[in-house]
Amino acid sequence: MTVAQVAAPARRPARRAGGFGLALVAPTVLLLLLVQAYPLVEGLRLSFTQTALARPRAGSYVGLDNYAELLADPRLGKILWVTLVYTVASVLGSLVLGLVAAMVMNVGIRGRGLLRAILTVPWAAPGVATALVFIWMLDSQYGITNWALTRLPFVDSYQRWLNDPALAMPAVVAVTIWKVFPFAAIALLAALQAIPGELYEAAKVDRATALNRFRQVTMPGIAPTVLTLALFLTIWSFRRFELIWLLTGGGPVDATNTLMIDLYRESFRNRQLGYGSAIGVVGLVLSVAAAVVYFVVSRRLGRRYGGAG
Amino acid sequence: MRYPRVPRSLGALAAVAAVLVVAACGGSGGGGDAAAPGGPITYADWQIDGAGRGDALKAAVEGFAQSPGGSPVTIDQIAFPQYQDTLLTQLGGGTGPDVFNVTVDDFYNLQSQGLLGDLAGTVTQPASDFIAADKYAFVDGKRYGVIHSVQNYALFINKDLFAKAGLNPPTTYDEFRADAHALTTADTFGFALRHSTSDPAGWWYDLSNWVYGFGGRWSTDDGTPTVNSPAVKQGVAAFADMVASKDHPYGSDGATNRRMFWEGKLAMMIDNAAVPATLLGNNPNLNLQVVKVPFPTDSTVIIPIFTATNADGKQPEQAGKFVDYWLSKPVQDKLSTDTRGNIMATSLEPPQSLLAQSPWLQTFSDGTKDAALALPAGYEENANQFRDAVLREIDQVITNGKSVDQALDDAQNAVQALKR
Repeated sequence: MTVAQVAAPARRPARRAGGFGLALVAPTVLLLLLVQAYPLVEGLRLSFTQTALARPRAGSYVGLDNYAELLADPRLGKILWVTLVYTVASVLGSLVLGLVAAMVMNVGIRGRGLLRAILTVPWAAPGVATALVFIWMLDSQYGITNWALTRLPFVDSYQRWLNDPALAMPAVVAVTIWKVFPFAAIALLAALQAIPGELYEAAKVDRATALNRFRQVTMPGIAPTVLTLALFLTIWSFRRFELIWLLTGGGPVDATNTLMIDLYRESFRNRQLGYGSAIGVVGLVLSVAAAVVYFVVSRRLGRRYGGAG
Repeated sequence: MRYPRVPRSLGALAAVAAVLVVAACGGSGGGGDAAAPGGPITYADWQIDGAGRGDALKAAVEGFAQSPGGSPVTIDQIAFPQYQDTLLTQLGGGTGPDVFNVTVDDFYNLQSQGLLGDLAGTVTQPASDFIAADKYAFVDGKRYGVIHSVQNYALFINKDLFAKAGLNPPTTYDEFRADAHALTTADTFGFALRHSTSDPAGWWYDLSNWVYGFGGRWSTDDGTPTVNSPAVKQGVAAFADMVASKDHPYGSDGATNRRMFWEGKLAMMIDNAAVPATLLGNNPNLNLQVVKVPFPTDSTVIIPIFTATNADGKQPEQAGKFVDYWLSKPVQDKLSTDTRGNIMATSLEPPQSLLAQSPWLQTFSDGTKDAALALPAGYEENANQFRDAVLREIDQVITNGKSVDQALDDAQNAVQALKR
């Protein structure tokens, strides 16, 4: 039997499977075109126009004016810095806390199933509800946080959690981590459970310390998951809106004014859809840049550990 | 290389799927959808917010269903901080409520974009039947709304706290500051105001009261900004000084301030004519007194609220009937009583019985004479940008200690740039 003879019968089923497969993915592709590609293209188009929110179809073409105005805005540097601080802090915090929670759950403790169920609550809770609950908890006059803190002997005054520029960002990051870390924990728990127990036993036989076992066995085992999580969490943090908007509205003095908050403010509060869209395009470019960094790092890690990447 | 062909039947399947997806996406309805005449209407407002006044307004709105030719009303209650953005987004998208209330701050913006229905043939009563602020509902002589109510501002006093401290309501600014200080204890604050980026509209009204009270205005009648005029600087300096003092709960928002007031934890606040009903609805035993704001001038902010219809609404005829129903004497009279003396569309001469029941109505009624819009003249269509530019600088004063002079000079430059 020649190679051609072997290959020929295999091609016909492949063709049928291809057509059928295309049909299966068609609804998804159409949906994505409608809810992803169309807004993307429309956003890009709007960024070259001066368009009022009240009449989104009556804009006039202004070329690169919106981008020129955005780049000339002295606030842009601070907005990007705030976005970076928020993204890095919330991603790192969620990953670290998620890893700690996953490792605790990975140990055979009693009530592990219940713990896992409880852990999903913050992730499952709607973002708006979460923000409103934390607004109450962090309220400078009625909040339980200040009430509890002032029971301590060394705290004698209420803190302005959401109104003090020094506290607003830590408060928003803390709420974000509380909301997001369960997702990281559950994903990392799955990765931890996929590491063969024999590897830990062999390391113990070699008298590896706990730290070494973590570095040499655990980390390589969960590295691909950590990397994928980091990408998702970065993009989600980058475009997170409802938590920040409801907690602080971007204030005080722009201390929590991320790119997405500024986009909303310009588009919907100041009603400048064109300028807001230009901010959105800058955000998109930065998100793509984050994804590119992910793929580069992922490939290098893949080479280093010889696994997926 | 040839790619496998998709069978025709599968192509049809994909087309059906596309149609279904499009149908699903458009299911919530666009403005152009046909609707059965005489059907239910939608009504948007931020004021239908529970106890007291909110309940009275809700009952009146729902009463349309029982009126001749009326129909059921679906109420879309949106919290005030989100109201403007939500309404404008909906109307701009060609959807939105059939009838809605809107403050003067957005009225002209919506009108200029052609989003407000022409009410010339709907409101048949002469303008003289309505309170003076109805004049703002006209653009180039055409009526695009009708006055719903006006809210101007006065000083709210907790009489029990004043009596306990042996104080009388202040009549000068110095007395006011001294009282605020004297009434601040471990359990109470002397005074509270709104100053949060999460509620810029509320912050703007409160700040404008201070600016106007010190004789300032945001712009001249011909639209020249006066953000860095001496009087505005004085008002802003006084505002910032109060925020920085320990007599004021830094970080509190409007809802918290009102709650503190009805719970007896706040001695004074400057608030609007809609609020007494809310306070008493939550605490009927509250010993409330309302006096004029004791600032150097008697000028405060007045917020005309208009009822308008959606130019792209699905039920224009029923929307018109609703406006007609709303302005009818029985509805207006009942509203005046049930809202504890709000200045409604036809509240020209509040009856003595109403004044006896709601004595603060006289204070608010007197206050309308010197009141002015918080909307800067000449910036009707980009009022929010004007507001943001000024508040951003004042945030710097409050939070980072920037000088009032420098901040308002910078704000003046920023708002001048908006005109170019």
